[in-house]
Amino acid sequence: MTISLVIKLFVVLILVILAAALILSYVKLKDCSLQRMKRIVFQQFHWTFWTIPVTIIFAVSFMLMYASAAGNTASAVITLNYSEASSGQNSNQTRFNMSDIISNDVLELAIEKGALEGVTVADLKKALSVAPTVQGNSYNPDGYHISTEFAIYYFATPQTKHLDAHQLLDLITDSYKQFYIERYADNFQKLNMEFSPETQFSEMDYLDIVAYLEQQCYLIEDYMYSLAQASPSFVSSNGDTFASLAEKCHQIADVQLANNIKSYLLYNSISKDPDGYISRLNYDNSLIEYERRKTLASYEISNEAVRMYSEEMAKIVLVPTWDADGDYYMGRTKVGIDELSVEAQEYSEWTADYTKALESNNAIVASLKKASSGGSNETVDQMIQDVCRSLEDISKLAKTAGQEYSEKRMNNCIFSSIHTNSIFRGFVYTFVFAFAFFVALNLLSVVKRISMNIGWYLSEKK
Amino acid sequence: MKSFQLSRYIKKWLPLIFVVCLVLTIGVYWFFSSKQNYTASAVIHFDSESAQQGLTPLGTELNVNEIKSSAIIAKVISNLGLEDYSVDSIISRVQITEVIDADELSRKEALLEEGQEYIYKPTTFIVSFSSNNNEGGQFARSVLDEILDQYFTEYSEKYVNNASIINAISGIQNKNFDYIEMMELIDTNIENTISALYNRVGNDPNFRSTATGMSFNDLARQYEFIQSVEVSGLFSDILEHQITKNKTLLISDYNERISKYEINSAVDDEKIADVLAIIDDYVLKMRESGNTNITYEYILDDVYDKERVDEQGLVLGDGEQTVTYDKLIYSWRDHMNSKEYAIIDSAYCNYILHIFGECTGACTGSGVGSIDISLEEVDRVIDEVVSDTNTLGDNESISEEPTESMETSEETSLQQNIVTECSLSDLTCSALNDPDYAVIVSDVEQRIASLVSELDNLYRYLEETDAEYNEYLGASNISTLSTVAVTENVNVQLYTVIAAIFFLIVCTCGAVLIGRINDIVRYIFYTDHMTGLNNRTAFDNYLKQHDHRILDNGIACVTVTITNQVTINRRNGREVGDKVLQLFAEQFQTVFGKMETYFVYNGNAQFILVVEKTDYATVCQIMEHFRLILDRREEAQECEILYEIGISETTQHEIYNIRKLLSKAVSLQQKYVSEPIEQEVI
Repeated sequence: MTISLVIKLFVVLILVILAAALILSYVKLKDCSLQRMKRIVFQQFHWTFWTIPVTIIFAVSFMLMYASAAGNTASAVITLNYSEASSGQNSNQTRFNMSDIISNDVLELAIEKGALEGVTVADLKKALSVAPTVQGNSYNPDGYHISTEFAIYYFATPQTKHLDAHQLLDLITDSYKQFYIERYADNFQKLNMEFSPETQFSEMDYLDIVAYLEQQCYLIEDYMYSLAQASPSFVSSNGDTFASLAEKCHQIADVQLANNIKSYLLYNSISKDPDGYISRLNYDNSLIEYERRKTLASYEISNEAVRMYSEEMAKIVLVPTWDADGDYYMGRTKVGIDELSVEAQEYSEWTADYTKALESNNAIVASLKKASSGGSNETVDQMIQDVCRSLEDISKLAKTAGQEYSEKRMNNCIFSSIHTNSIFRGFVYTFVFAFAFFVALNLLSVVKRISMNIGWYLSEKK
Repeated sequence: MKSFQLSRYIKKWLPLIFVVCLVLTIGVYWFFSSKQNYTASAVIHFDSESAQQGLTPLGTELNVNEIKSSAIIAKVISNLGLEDYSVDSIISRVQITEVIDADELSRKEALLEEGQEYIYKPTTFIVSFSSNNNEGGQFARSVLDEILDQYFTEYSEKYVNNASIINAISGIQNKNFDYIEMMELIDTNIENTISALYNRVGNDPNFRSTATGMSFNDLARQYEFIQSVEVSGLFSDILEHQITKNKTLLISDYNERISKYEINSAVDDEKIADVLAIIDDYVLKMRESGNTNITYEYILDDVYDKERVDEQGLVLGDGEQTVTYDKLIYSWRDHMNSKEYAIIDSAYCNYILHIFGECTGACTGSGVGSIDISLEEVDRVIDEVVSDTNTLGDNESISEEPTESMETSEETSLQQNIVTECSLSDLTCSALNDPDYAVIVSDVEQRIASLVSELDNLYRYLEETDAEYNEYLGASNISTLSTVAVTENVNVQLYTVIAAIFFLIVCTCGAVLIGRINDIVRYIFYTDHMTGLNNRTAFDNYLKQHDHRILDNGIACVTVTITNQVTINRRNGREVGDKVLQLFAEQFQTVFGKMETYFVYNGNAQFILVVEKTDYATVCQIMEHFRLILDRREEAQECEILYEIGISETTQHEIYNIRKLLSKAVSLQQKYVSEPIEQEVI
């Protein structure tokens, strides 16, 4: 039973007694004038003793029921503070679903966090409901509304009666915050970079290690550039901007990896397994060559198509039209050689790319062929270790900056507040209702007394 | 009969009216509450430009009814654990209503007034779901929310992010593929994945999954790294060490591929010849018909839109702008490309055949060597194949006898290797002569298994990232204009108030009607028409009703009998006699006023009055008052009235039975005389 129901019940009880008293008095004193009726009632109005214990019983009953209902109900409000909320979206711009607030994942987390015993997710679901605090009207365009505040209501069921309502809602709102941040807030997990070159790279050749570290550099660089696009002016507590962090990564990839280590490896013909690496590059080259031949063939075919395009069919017509700005200009009819020429040029570029890849691989092969033997190289190992440390440092800075920005952007993303029913309010209700009940009861008693002596009043009237 | 007094009837039945109304109103409230159902509704808007033309971003027709497709509802049922519900039962409760704004309505009316056809493709829709009283509003809200979630994702998967990424290589190492085939499949799969990932990067370069923390660029780079390091490493080891499960099968497989490529190439040759002939004829006809006599000075007269529009000016799209001649040229180009690619792919197969059929030198005693997979070897093989194809193409023999070249190729191969041991064996040269072959095979198998596992893990990341991307695209292409709102379909409070008022009116009218009918019945059957008091029949009923009741204190019975009524009638006429009776009746009603008194004219000039809530003294005083009034009467003054009055009261006489009380009153009757009043002579 909810508090509002308890209150309604007792209000109805008081109203019924009052109504009974009024009706009775009206029926009995209907022939009296209002003034006389008042006089009779006030004359007879004195407190009746039996109403006192009855009122006490009433007050105690109300207090008990209120206390029971207060322990069984509670509500909380969840407010979404990030900018995308006003579009009905999560912070990652996916659709916001308010049912997530009491989803199985959240409730499981709440049960786990609170070590709640004797209750299942299904039990909790039955006791909880969620609704927007202000909801729009779908059938009237003026009434459209995107809610950003949602209320969670808890009504205890027999299965959840043993739980503390306040604590339960506290757990649920906390769990939802955790769930939300894990699922929808920026994820910087990939920036947790820790390298142990001795073990991690033991099976990899040096050039592969360089490629791997380049990849990690680009990962941080991309992340930072995407954040820089979103907020170019953001400065972290370490004094970094996203662009500066991205540039630092780029420098590591460009200077330390490509210029220093890679050049050193090729210049000094260093490889852990030169034969194996050469064999691999040879295979790569063979595949690249097949692709290069294909693009070359396509280039020649497109060129040939342009050449064989009939002159008579290549004539154009000028078409008066307007551009995107609304200005007039002369368009021309498009003919096939336009597209074929563009195609030929694209194939030419691809062929050049393949040729470049072949040349690069050949250069490496030529360098590694000079290698006397394989195995580790202390200088290179040291250089790799230095790059790893630099990357680890910059990834930490990037993560810190990202987290600071994310927190600022999401404005703590979710704010929650829990509303419970205070005992003080219960006492106030009890006092007010008990007084009203006492008055109503006494009124009824007076009316009954009057009705019993109606003959006397009427004779008095005469 | 009593006069019609509305308040009298209402007053009489007021408590009953109140109770009946209350009970009925509670009943109505309960009834409507039990019939209550809820509708959850939300407003969605399709944002893509194509939606305004009723199309999806892919250009297919936009069908909003897909929101309640069984595929989506089945997912909703599964996600919400609604196994007790059938798909159809949920579908039947989903409603989709288009929203047309005021401007569009005006346009519609204007066009229809002009007699023009009106076509409009709405982009805003209200999606609603209903639930019954037992399920509650929360159920409707969660189901609709889940339906919209699933639809947003489905829409994105189907119409926006439709470049699918599949993981076709899971568990490939346990299937009956040769090593080189496995690696080819893995490589193709990675290639396709990278291509699809870059496609996504091109569309949304800044997308980054919050679930995995990765962008598509990050994933593509990881795949590229695996391809360039691990895949090519495995490929080169397999080729260098001639690693195969079954050499014979491998050679026949690749020979078969070569054969297919050659057939395709020959077919393309024929198509190319046909297309060239058509091109020549087309140009000739165009020339003859004068369509080619256009100069660069030719300018169209009108200004044209860049887009194709319909009669109402709605954009239909770019339309097909390719002319027939271009189509022919493109067809020639495509067949030429296909032919050239077939030759190169055929060369690749020859390269594989060459590698697995080659002797490393161990068989001829020149020691265990390695296979040459260098670029020079590739060039040599391609040149050989191209030269062979051109030769055969010139002789036009490929298309007629496609198997001949294959046989020739095999014969050449056999002639070249006939002297070596490995060429006669089902095993490769490395398998025959390399003592470390088994170890290398085992290592390759392990590396393939590890690679597949690594790719599986990466695919899981990709899948998770892609799932979120679909949700993101869904929300980007379909916006929510109004959050899911739940309304009660039955306004219980309003209906209850209406019902209460209705019942009050009906009960009041009923009370008035019943009261009036009662008046009529009483007047006809239970009223003495002369005196206007209750008659004997009414009094008999009254006695019956009170027969078995113990009377309260304060109930008095008064009997009044006019003893000389017959004499009055005879001496003064019947009219005067009646007047006397009427005088008595009127005076009784006057003196007892508003007291609860039951007046009876029992016939034979006898009146009976039963007065409630009174006492003996009061009644005596009232009757004394009656006598005084009678003595100063203004009517029937000429006659002497002899009458008897008997008064009994429950408390006074300690009689609590109505009949006994009546008998007591009769027995206590005392005689009184009201003298005639002499009229003053003027």
